Amino acid sequence: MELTALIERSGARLLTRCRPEGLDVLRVYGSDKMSVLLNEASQTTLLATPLSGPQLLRLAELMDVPAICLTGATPPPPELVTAADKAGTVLLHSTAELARTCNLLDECLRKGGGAETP
Amino acid sequence: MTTYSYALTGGDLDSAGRATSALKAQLKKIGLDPGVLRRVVIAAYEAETNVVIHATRGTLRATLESGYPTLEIADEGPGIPDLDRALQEGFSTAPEAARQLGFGAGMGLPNIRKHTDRFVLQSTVGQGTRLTVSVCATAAQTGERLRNSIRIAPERCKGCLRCVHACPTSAIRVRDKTPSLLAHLCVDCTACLAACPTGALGTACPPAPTTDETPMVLVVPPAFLSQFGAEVGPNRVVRALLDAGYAEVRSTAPWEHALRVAVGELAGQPTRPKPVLSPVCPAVVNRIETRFPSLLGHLAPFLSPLEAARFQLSDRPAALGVACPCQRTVLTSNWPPGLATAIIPLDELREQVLSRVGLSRANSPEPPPGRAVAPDLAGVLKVFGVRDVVQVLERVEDGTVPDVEVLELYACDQGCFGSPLMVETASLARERWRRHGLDDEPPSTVVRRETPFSARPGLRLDLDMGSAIEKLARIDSLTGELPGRDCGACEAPSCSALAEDVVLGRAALARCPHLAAGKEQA
Repeated sequence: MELTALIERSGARLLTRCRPEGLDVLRVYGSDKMSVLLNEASQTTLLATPLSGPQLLRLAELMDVPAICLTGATPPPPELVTAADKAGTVLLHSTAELARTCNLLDECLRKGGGAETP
Repeated sequence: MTTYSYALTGGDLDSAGRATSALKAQLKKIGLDPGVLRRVVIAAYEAETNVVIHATRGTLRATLESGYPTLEIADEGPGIPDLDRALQEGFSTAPEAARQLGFGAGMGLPNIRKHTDRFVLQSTVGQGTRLTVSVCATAAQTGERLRNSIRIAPERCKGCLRCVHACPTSAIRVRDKTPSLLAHLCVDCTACLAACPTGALGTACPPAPTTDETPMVLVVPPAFLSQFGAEVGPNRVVRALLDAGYAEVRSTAPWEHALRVAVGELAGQPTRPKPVLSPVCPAVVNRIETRFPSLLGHLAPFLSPLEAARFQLSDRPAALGVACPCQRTVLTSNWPPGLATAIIPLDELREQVLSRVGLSRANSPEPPPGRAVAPDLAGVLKVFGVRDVVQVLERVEDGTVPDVEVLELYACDQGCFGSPLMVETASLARERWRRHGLDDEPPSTVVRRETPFSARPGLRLDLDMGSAIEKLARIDSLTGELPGRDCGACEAPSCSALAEDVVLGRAALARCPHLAAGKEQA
């Protein structure tokens, strides 16, 4: 599924100015552990996490992930969004907590048609 | 050899990953396989993060030799007091600040281990830690592993076809006095080597030792140490090899014992499928992966003794003497070259011993004969010879061996003692080892496999199930048309093998002389 369609259907908010057009998502994976995210990251995996450190951007760059969805009620720090724009990483935000966000995104992917989900 | 080196600074978590990012950019430029690159990046990032969290400074050094990336991450830090504990998933000493950022879950080192093919961790408390890991790029890039180490010397072949009939997997064809192997069927056992009277089939020449760092520790199978008759026992053989310049000589017996004990413990688990199959002989493991995939769950998830020896000695210069082609294959296909481990042909070692035995006898007192080897553990059934092994595995598959807890299956008669690369009669050599093993060998531990056993597609006729069924029907039909003499005149081992060759496009039906003669008569 195209990331733009997934954003539209899930209601997640696009935080960054860099555009998600042309990016495909086949699966969603969420964790609050960097090692777990690193293990599961791929070019077609949307990562969801309640973490908000700058290392998320490094991980996205190293593993070529299409986007990261930050979760939780707390607004993401503006400096992270600025750094993401600079790094060209697409950041989303969902106010729901991690598990709920993952379920929601996964449901959208399954209903999206044509996408393979784990 | 290409080398990239990066300095790492401890304490600054924001900078963690910069070196890995730079390394990734370089490796992408040289076109490293994406799957390999992913593994390298994960290992490098985890290791770099560890240095940043725990140490004051360090270096990340990456070398590429023959397509195999090796990372060496060294730091000046507090060191790791308990390496075993540090490798346990979930164990971490990271400070709270790192944990709040999602680090310190105790998964870094296990992650690195998971994504690399060689992993050596050394640490000195108060000084620092050095981690060396390698990823087998070539194996991953090609998607296939070196399947066998059989060497063919066609100039020696007389076309006797003994190898064709001896091969238990019908993997050999001899055309125009030239043997060839169907690599997807060959399980690297020694049946063809044993049958060949001219030496046209042998073990592929091992690479020359890749290190000048001598002296090395030498590891050999017990069978080799009892190859020199009743007068020259294992202890004298060891002394001769020490004279030849090896720093230490060890047999694989302690690793065999450790494996046997660990397999026995597994068999004690009520949920474990019985009998538990020991992975002691890699040729048998190949056979199971090819012909008996339903029994993969019965295989104990450990490295074979020689693999375990190599694993545990990989941080020091070591040489291994292999008893068969298959042992060489498992040591060369899954491990990067250029490590401080060499594979030495037994012929070469034998020459070293024979040229020094007289010298030892003249200049030094006779060493004690060695003590008797401990008897085998109860409940372990040993099966020797590939045909017996296959029959037993068929029985296990049928569920008609409920009365055996552990099976040790060996492709060769008397185990490695019966390898065609050994010169002494198998039963004599085995008995001599049993009576006089080596004195005071240090104990060893079993090594758990990191890559699970998996089915090999050797017997599949086609990746598509429908096509495979169709081809099977054609093979059956064609086999019925052939005379059924299994004479080998067509240079395939049997009529059904020729039928398969024809259906899979490897041979023409006209190769059967009886069929051609019948047509002429008609």
